Amino acid sequence: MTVEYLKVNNLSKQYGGLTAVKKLTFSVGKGEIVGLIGPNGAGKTTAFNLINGTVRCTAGQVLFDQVDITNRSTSRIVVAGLARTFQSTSTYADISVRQNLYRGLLSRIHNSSVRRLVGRTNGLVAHHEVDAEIDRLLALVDMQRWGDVEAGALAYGLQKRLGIAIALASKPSMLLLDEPAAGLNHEECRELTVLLRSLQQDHGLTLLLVEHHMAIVMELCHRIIVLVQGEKIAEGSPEEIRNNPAVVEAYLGAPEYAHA
Amino acid sequence: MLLAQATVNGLVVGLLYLFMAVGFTLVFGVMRMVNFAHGEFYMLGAFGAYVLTTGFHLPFLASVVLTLVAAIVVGGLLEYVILKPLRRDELNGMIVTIGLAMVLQNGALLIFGPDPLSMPAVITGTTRIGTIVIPNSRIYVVVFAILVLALLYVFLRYSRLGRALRAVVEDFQIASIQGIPARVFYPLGFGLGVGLAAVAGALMAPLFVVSAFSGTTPLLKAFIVVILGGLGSIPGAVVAGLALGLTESYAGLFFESSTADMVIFLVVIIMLVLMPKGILGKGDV
Amino acid sequence: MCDMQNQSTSVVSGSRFKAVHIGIIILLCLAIWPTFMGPYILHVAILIALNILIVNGLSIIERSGQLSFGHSAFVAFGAYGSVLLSIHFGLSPLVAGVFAIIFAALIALVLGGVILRLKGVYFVLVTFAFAELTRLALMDWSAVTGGANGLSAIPSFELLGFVFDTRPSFYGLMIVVVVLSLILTHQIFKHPLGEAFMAVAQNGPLSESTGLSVYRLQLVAFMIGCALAALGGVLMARYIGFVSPESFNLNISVALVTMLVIGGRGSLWGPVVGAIVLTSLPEIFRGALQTQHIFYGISLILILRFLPGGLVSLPGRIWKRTRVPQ
Repeated sequence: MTVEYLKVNNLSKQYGGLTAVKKLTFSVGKGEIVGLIGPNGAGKTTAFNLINGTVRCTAGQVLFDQVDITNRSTSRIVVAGLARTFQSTSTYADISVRQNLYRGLLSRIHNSSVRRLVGRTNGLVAHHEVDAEIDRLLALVDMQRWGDVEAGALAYGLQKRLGIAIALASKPSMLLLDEPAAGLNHEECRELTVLLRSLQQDHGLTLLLVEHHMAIVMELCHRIIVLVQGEKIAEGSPEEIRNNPAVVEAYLGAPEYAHA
Repeated sequence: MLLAQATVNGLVVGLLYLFMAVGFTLVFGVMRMVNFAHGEFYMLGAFGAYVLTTGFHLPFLASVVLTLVAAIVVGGLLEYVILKPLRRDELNGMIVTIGLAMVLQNGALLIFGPDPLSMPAVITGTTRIGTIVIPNSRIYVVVFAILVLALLYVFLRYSRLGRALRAVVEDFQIASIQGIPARVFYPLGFGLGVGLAAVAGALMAPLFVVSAFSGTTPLLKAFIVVILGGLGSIPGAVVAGLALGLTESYAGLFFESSTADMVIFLVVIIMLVLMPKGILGKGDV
Repeated sequence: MCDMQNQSTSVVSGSRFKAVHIGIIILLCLAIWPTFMGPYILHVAILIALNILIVNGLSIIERSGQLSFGHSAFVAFGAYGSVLLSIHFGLSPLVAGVFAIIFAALIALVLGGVILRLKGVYFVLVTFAFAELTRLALMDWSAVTGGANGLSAIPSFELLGFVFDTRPSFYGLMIVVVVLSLILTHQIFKHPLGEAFMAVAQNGPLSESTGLSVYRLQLVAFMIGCALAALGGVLMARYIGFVSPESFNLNISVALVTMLVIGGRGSLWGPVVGAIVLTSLPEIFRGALQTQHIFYGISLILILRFLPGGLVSLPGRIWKRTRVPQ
């Protein structure tokens, strides 16, 4: 039995009269890759925002590694080991890739005022180890050639990979990925799948992804959760979900679903 | 009664604040711009009324109308020429209006000099309602102000352009512009906003002295009212404007003005921190 | 440690190395020159130095992503604070000054703690309101602050028995203080703390998601910036010998922001250029004050339109235009 690494209990978010997320309950086991799918506007990104503290919940609870992190500030949640990527503008565009990664690991630098301010005690690196750590991160996402290039000048697929590397710079044990395959071509999607699988298998990361690209979801995920209009309508293995009539009707049969 | 007198004064001042605030919030809602030059348009409006009535001997009402039209046109032109690249760029747009304010205020200083000018009375005498004695000049101002407000209300409610403006201010959606080209929409929004400030200046010119520094206090008041009513909320600006005018007037009966001022600024800070959407909760955070 | 420069070939860094040395020599000459030019120019130079110090503080706050329109209030806290501590507790100028700065930093902590949840124009407006509130309080609390008349006959600054009561000696003190503040700023931005400030300013959500607490970092920047402003106030009061609430009104806050924007945001030298240009121009062009202010207003508009990085970014722009494409 896998440990419930991330547990979400009856999570809800209301904006005035609109319910974006309704009593969402699910868990992710340590070392699992779980997919969160559903039509546009189903509340998937809102769920991420609620989990990682960007948005306050109206109700519910989030437990990470059995610690209650509900409504904690995002930076504290990251320091606890839960990081995320963004759908858009996920890099500092006018500085180099190396400098982007440097900014990503600022909170880990031993004996720096930033670390003391943020209160981080794990995964620290000494000042002289910073360059080596940046090299390691570049190697993880296979971007060693692009170290000195300005982030904004990178091709779209590389920018997204940099976004993942920045998230990895905070040495998380779990990663929330918000539509990592959006806008990628076939080749880039394949590389992404290889990368994500490697992160899970070789580096022990737990992954929760929001994704529309069904091929990737079906291939990578151990389990899939389906969200429609803020509510979970199904949960199960890829086969179970693919054959679930409610899911097919609500989402998989819909026009925006592609690449199956 | 002293209280009734204070109420009348409070309403007059409240109308002034209302004009300043509605114009200010209109500019903010349309262009996300905190217009530091707003007070200078009040000042220009006051000078406009002054010059047209004393220099060209036009009747007061005509001067006010002409000033309003001129302000809308000048405001629109300024927006198109200077502010266009900074539309919806909050911080930089605001700083540009600081520059604009410097140019306008010092331009007025160069042309009119630093000494305050007095407009000859538009209308003399007083009216008695029961025990209250009101100078006719104030009644004049209130009547005209209400007329302009009524026109504004009709415009915002029933005209296509007005409805589009209101929609953008209350809830910015690009689609709300409804086929009105941006090159018309933004200058008009800004022009109308500062036009309201100019009308306030013109209407108040006979009541207070006119000088190049006339705009500073109205600008501060506009800030206060708009924060209390919620940045980007026209109804909020109306309610808060009148409320502030009346509150100041009543407070003046019991407290020293400096204490009242401090309390108001403290309230402003508290409002911004606890209720940035303003008292009506319709502001645009 | 990670190389902060984007493009660095040995040729370029060779010439940059020399340029830095030449620049420092020029600056040293510029700094020493006023001492030979008579009391009036020396006076202006002192005012410039004070402004550099104060705007430097504002720059640190701005580089963490917030623009403070209440900076004059903290200059006031330093000025009034140190003078009142001397008068009522008999503290020496140095000790009173230190306590006043600590006091100002504490106010910054409390105020910032409350208002730094706000962003952009909302932060601007609340700092603006705070500045006006401070001025009104200084006017009103006349028993302590002297009200509109302020406090006068303030004794000169004293350090370890040496009294800075002549213009040249005070100027010497100012040079040292300004240089130290610039070194401090330079060091902050060379180290992780400054990089964190810049990250937070450039992309709050992204930096937050890398474990940087935007709130805490901006609070630290705010405290440092306000402390520098207070330091400026402490020294200013001792030089001019007189303080009143009008010396710290909203126009001053706006003028400080103007100096920063025209000089250049996001740069170590922006405050220096801005302070020099805007403090000395009135003296160089002794025309009507109004014309000068019109000129400032137009400069502000033009800078934001064509050179948003301020005057400091001009050489960089020209350099980019003349560089041979690779």
